[in-house]
Amino acid sequence: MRERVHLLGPRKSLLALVHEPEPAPPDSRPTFVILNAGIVHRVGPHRASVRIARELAKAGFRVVRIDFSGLGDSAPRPEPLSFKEATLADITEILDDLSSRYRTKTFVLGGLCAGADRAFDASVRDQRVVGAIMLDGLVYPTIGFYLRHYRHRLARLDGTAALRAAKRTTAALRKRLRGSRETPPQETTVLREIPAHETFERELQALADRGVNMCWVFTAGLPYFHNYEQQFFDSFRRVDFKGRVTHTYFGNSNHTFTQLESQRRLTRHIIQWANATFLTDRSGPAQTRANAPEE
Amino acid sequence: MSPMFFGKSGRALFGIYHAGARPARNHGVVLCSPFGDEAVKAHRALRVLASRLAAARFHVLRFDYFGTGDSSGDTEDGTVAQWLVDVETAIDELKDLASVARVSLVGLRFGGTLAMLGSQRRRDVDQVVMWDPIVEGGSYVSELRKVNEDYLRDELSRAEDARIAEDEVLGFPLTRDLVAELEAIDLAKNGVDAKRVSLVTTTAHPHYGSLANHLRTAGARVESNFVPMNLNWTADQSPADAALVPIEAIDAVVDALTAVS
Repeated sequence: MRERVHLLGPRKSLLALVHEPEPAPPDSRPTFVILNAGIVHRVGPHRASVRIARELAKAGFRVVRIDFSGLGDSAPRPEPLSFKEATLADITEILDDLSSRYRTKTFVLGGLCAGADRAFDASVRDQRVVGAIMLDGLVYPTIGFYLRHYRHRLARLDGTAALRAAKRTTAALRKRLRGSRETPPQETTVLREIPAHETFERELQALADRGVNMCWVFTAGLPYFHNYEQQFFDSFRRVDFKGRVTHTYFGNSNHTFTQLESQRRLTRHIIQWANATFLTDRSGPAQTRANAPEE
Repeated sequence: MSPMFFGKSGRALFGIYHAGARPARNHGVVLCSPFGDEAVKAHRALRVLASRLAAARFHVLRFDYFGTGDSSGDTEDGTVAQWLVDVETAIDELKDLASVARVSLVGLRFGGTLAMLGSQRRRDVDQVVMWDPIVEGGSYVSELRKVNEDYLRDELSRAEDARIAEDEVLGFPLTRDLVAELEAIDLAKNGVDAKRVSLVTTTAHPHYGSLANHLRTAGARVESNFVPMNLNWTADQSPADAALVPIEAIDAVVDALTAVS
């Protein structure tokens, strides 16, 4: 494996670390692009992006870790764009540059948290994307979510405080259940733009229809956002995934996979998904859904 | 800003060179990063520091030690002995890149410790600036373990069957060998080659007074600048606080170098 550094894009302003397998992968094999997690620079929280990139390269995939404009060591964009629009423009420029530099025509985008959101958004917009890895990506509240959410809050109270809270909770639950398709609780909207549930569902269906393979991983680290294993499927009951989705719940990991064992399990899971999805000669659906990480 | 790999093949180090603004000084500065998660958290601050030093006409190289950041090596393979070799490799690279006669070292947290220890292996280091350095390795190990346990106990409170591993801190390995190396460090007792040393500190830790006294006793010219700030380099980061840029402390580091250059 060789590692190189490039400045990508028309302004040579987007810093990228390339992990190149030896021998070089065939042009038909997708290149993985790992996006920033929030505003953490390209190594990722706890350097986990480096670990994942190197293992993917050992498995035969070219991997590129990038800094979005204005993050890490990439220069800001000259034009005033929102963070979302700027990062989507960055991804287009990065894929264009990598396509001409390496003759690769297809890509897999991956990210954690806001990086997962951007991987999803860019996959919807860019036909070159054939796979996406979403780590603690977007999911929507369900009845099951609210039941667990309020039960946990009540369990932390006692006596009259619990009784008063129970009344408020019952009223809140009634309200939630009447208008069940809504945005998640307020805390989740601080760092991430959350589209309407119907919009996201439509885009998810479009990706499945296009044959984009998706690897969704959720942790126990954002309980105000995702709090039980089946929430993803309950959240998108109307979507026909067409066998393109794998879903895994890391119930003993926090949001940034702080513990080394969580990082190693995540790395193994991604390698297994990548191998099964992109190194086999198949034309049909990539995966069936799997709800437990392989050991 | 020029990103690059340098050093030995198979042990390549990643660095970013910032050429000094013209007319540049005949003086280079190597920036030494903190340990573990603190290095991820400090990335933005060191980038801003490098830019400010380059604007002040210094040639600057910031880099990742072996097994850290974008450099080669697994995280599990990091040792203090190797990182001290890496500091020397970076000094040689900067002298080669910028054709400078004088080199100074600036280190943040454990990077300050490595800068001080690394300077004692060389004759060509002009000045050492330690920013909130780790003075006593044993205390640092204890602090890291406590922060790790407190953080994870809270983070994993709703996780299933979560166990807090003992040989790692905030997502980075703390191997038995590394602990032994860290515990052997006490800058307030180590031998000192007389040289110019600047201490930029943001907290009033008693270790800093002992260190300054020790260095002065050993014949070093020591300048201290206390810039009180509410910084927490050790706490685990959320995506929202991964970009601390304590500009007053950064300016104090630049001042420490420009005052004598």
